[in-house]
Amino acid sequence: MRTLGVLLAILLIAVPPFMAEYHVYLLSLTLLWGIFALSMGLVLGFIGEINFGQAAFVAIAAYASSLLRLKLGFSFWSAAPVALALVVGLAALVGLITLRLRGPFFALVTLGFGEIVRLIITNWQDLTNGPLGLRPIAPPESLFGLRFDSKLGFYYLVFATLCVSLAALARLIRARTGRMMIAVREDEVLAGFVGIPVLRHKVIGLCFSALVAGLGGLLIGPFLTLLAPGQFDLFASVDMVVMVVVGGVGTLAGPLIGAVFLVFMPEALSFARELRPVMMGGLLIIVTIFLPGGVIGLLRHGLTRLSSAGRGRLAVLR
Amino acid sequence: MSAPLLTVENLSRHFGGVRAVNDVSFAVEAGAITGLIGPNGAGKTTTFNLISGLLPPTSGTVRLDGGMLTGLRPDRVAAQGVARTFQGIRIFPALTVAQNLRTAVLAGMRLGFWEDLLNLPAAQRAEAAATRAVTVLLCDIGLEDRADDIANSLSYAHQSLLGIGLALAVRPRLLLLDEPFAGMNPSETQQAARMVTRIRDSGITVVLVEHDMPAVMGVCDHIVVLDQGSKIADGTPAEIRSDRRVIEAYLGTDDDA
Repeated sequence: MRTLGVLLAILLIAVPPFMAEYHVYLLSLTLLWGIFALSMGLVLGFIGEINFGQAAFVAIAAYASSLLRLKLGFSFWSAAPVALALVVGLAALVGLITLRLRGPFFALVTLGFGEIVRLIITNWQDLTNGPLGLRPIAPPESLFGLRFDSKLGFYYLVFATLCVSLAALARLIRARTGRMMIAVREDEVLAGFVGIPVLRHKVIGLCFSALVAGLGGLLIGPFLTLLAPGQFDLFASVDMVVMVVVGGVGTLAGPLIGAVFLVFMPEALSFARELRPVMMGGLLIIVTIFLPGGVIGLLRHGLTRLSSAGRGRLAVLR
Repeated sequence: MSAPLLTVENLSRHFGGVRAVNDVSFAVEAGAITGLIGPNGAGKTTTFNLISGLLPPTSGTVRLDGGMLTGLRPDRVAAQGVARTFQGIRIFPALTVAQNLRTAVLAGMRLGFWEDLLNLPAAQRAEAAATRAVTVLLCDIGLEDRADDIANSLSYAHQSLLGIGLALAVRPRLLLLDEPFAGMNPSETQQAARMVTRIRDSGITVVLVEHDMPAVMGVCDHIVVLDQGSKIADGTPAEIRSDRRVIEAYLGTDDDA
């Protein structure tokens, strides 16, 4: 699995310079959604809750950084930490209030949170220009001689962000904090009685998830050169959920595979746009019924059969 | 008689009109095994849940070594040195036996958030210490050769042992065992009873709720009997065996016949 990842990373670095601009764009879009899916994967797989307000974290980082640049003359790089701090702080606040709830109750409250954020963005027209959106959003300024104003340059920025997010989350779930989170997901009551502060670990999980969502959010404005509230509706969050479930819940690679399945493939095979929601729904039903481990579960199953060594079970800690 | 480790005072818990636990007081001596027994619906498990903080009491207090336990969050109760197991067993099902124990061991370690996240030397020391602690615990509960099995795949008796292992990982002063011998055959019960005695001999005070009368009489130093939410007797196994009210509670009075 690890060798496969390294090989894939090398390909993702080496091949794009030889690709058509449209395909580089498509690859950037896929990786960007990969970042969003990764952030949802942490909530779904390691806290064990569904967050229908995840797109709001993306929106807050996107709008905060873009507004700092457009209205106050910040550079992309100086706006980024401010926007990220804002989104993580907000996630902590939201988490402290909502993570006392579980299951459908948590999902409903986060749905409300997502809609409130979207409505504020839509209606605070003096600041956000409402539904007309913010534009034009320039590519990030060059940094250490690296330029991001070409499709390829920006692609590498997205790729680097994905790698950083992935590395951060990989470390998190191997660290004590991550294992405490997994314990809380497995059995909240027991986790409490072995001495784990339950709420604290759920909130930390949500903050990390918001950080990753925010990292992606920083990039979405420059990527599309435009920010509008419609990009961050409920369906954006639902798409992330579908990606995680299709790819495989409780893993880090799963959400990325899901993003490839749901962004790259339909576009590359030029499916009709209108069919996408239907396809998403259909895929979700098929996967939940026939492949509860997601695509990655299927891959692992295949690998175990080949090597007939490991266990077929979905591992949480490897 | 030394000062009691655990003091339960006028503890009550009402569910609507039902007085599940009604004005129960008793003391648990340090270094002993105390049994909490009674017929079905006597309020044993509710009492346990009140002591461990899973349920808030309607009134009354629970003190550990003079410090108040009532009203503390579960992880704070654990930090005070109180661990518990659960009726029907609670473990972390998808983790291996070793990972289960490691989780509980790590939970109790002092380690800064960033030290842990950045894997600084302090974190590496903690992990190494955890590895040693897990080895000892595996040996204590006799599951050495099951270390890498997924907890969910263990037999009921083994899961029950793992549940006790998780509680021991907290390094408790007071261990609350909720029906530790449930679902075990006689030889497994004997083995588990010997383990409970060993736990006491290692200096941990034990309180257990149990239905298996011979096991309770054999293993406990002191017994508290509940019936319909109230305490009806409190004494050594020999005293309890000959107590008229206890016999009535279990077998019914002549009037019932």
